[in-house]
Amino acid sequence: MFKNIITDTLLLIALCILQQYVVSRLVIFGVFPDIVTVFIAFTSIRYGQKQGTTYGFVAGIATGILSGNVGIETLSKTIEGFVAGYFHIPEDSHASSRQKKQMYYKGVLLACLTGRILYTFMLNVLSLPTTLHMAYSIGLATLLTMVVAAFAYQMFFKKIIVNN
Amino acid sequence: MPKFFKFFINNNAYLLLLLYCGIAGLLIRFEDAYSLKSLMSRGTELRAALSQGLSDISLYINLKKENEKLTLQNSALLADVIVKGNALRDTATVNRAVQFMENSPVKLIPARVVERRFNTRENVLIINAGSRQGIEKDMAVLTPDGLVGRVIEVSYNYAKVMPVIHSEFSVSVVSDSNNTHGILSWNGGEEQTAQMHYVPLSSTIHESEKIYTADFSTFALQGIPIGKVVEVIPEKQFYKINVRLGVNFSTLTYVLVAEKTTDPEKVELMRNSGNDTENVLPETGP
Repeated sequence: MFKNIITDTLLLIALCILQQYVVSRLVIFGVFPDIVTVFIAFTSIRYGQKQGTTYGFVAGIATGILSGNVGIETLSKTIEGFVAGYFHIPEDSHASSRQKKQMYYKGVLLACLTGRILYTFMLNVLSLPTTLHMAYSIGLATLLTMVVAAFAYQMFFKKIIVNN
Repeated sequence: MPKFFKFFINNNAYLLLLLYCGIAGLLIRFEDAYSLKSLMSRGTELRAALSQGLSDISLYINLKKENEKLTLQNSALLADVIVKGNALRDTATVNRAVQFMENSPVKLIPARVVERRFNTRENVLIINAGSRQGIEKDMAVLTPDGLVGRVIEVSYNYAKVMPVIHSEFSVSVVSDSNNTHGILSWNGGEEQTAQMHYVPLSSTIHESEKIYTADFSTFALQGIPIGKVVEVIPEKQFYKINVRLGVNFSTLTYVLVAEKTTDPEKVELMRNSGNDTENVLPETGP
């Protein structure tokens, strides 16, 4: 367990750096996917709500220091971890692999939506853009993140979640 | 107290969320505080360093493409430089030839070297002027720098020239200071050096003396520069004299062909006399 925490923390920090310097440059129609959110949601689904919230908090601090919005990033990522925790799959779960997959996708989707909405509103507290524009950016960013989540599930998370 | 923490860690996710949100709230509230600013500035430094590293990596990855682009640019520029350099050199050579022609009392026909063979003892030049332009056999070919050779074959538009650096070429020459006469020929050695023969030991000749064609020549005008004496070696009866040729055959592009001025009667007479000098030697050429 301890080894897993260390590995996941290091991976999380690496993903934060990757998000800031690589993924954030892959702008598609003005938005980009969020791989950190996918990982927070995954840890929350795998280990539980409290661990997910803590990972979210750590990821928020790391991303915030790198991006310059430490407070907002910390808040949004913490809440993302907390929300995804509602879809936690316990180790002794008897759910089928299909159900586990659905839980994963629901967890990522909800975490991403919550995080994006919170982030967009808090960052634009003084200069709110039009509702349509906000909906567009939140929706598209969530869609892109879900694509990344699907890719990550097929490549890495499937084995871990199904065998959990 | 430990019981509270145990309860806090194990059972209450809401409290944990509240704690983290509280910290986040404090971070938002005190975002302008000095300590936080300092932390953020370190983050910015880290970000800048990482960004620099990533830029370097992408720069390295794109280096091959950049190199190919530069090579293409370079080749285009080089081609441009070659074309313009050639044009400049040609202009300078043509200008010199024109000036020389204007000052020369003899009629000179300009021509360009279109073919050359400088890899054997039988070196040959082909110029783009032939009988149509008034070129005849045995005309002297020269540049402002000196004598190039002698026309040995003429077609309608081209002429073949036996250059000074041909093993069978010879010409009567004279030194400028001491008026010493001799026959110049090339022994097949160094391209820029010819030899002056039949200069008796009783004659006076020094190094650095300039050599010109003599009046005795059967094809060349008197006074065409040949080169400069670089070495004088006394032998049994004659001096062995090395002459540095004025014409650089490796860069020869434009030449002038001098109209024949020698009296054919004189040539015939000298041929019949059977002298072992230029009068005989050039006639044995190809």
